[in-house]
Amino acid sequence: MTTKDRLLSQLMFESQQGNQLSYETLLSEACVFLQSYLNQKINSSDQRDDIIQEVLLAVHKARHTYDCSKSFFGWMLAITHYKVNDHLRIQYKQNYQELDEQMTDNSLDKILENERRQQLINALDSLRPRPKEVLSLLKLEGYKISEVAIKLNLSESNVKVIAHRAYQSLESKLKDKL
Amino acid sequence: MSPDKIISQLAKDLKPVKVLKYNTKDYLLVFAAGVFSVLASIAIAGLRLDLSQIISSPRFILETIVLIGLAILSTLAAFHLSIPSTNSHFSSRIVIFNLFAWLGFLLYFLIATPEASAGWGISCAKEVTIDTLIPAIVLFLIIKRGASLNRAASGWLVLTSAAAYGALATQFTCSSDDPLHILVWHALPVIILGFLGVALGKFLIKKL
Repeated sequence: MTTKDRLLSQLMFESQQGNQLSYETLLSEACVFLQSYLNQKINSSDQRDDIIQEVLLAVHKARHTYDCSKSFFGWMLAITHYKVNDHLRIQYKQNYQELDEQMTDNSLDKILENERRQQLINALDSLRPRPKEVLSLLKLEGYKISEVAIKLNLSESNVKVIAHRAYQSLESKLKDKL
Repeated sequence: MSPDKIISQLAKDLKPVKVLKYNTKDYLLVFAAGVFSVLASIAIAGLRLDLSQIISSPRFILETIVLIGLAILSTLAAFHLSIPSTNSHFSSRIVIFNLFAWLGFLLYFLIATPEASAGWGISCAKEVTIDTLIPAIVLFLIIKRGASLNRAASGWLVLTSAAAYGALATQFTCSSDDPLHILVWHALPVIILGFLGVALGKFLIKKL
């Protein structure tokens, strides 16, 4: 045991007997140690303060288990590790839950979007070949009416009529579903 | 609350405490509870008829030693874990090793016994479970006085230790030496009770 360790061990022994001054000194020293120890492990100063508070409370609750012949730092470090891991576990769970909620909201939108898209594709598939081809060229592949007319060897007015009838057909098929 | 305020408050509330020191009496109490369970079980169920023939067989002796080891090591590990320490995992690992040694031992005999049959052994499982009660209660009451940093592991150790006494009792009351029977109706209850201990530990031992 180092000299400091022995000093704290003695302070803890006196605290176990009920010496309030020794206890206050012990906890202050422990606090200084914890601040420098946690500086290396936890970035946020708020979180460090939270953990320090929890460790001090745990030291208070568990003080009857400390054996003065053993290292005080070793005993307190065991409690500190436990509190740090506990804190990180709770934080991870909270972050995961928030992320999960976010993902669920986004996923729900995506699911609905995908569902609508699928319904549209199914409705498109149920059209007869010519209207299906015209709509696919116009809306899915982005051709202009004049280009579709040339491609399918139809007049532009014919393409417009076929497209119009195809829209009406899709509308009636999708009316109930969307 | 700032650390300084907490320190003043804690110092103001300070009361003297009795330092926890586990002594021989505590260990013997748990052991006595275990032995009592085993003897009570034997008194109720009766000794197996072939005990006089089997008692000197190496397999029986080895299995008995492993079970006594499991019971005692789990108890010691539970005591150790109830005091905050940076090397508390070491004792739990020894218990895990012991448990795997027992299971490995049973698997070895299972492989060597092609006609193994578990049979119906609900009474053995009941015996293991009932025998767990008294040593588990005694051990929980003792280690609750400490400050376990891992309540789940503490609970697991308590019930594994107590259940090992139950399995030890069945060594003397159950006449089936079939490794599959022992695996299913003696060892599996110990494992299941261990898992139950994980939950009980979190419930019964105060969080630090």
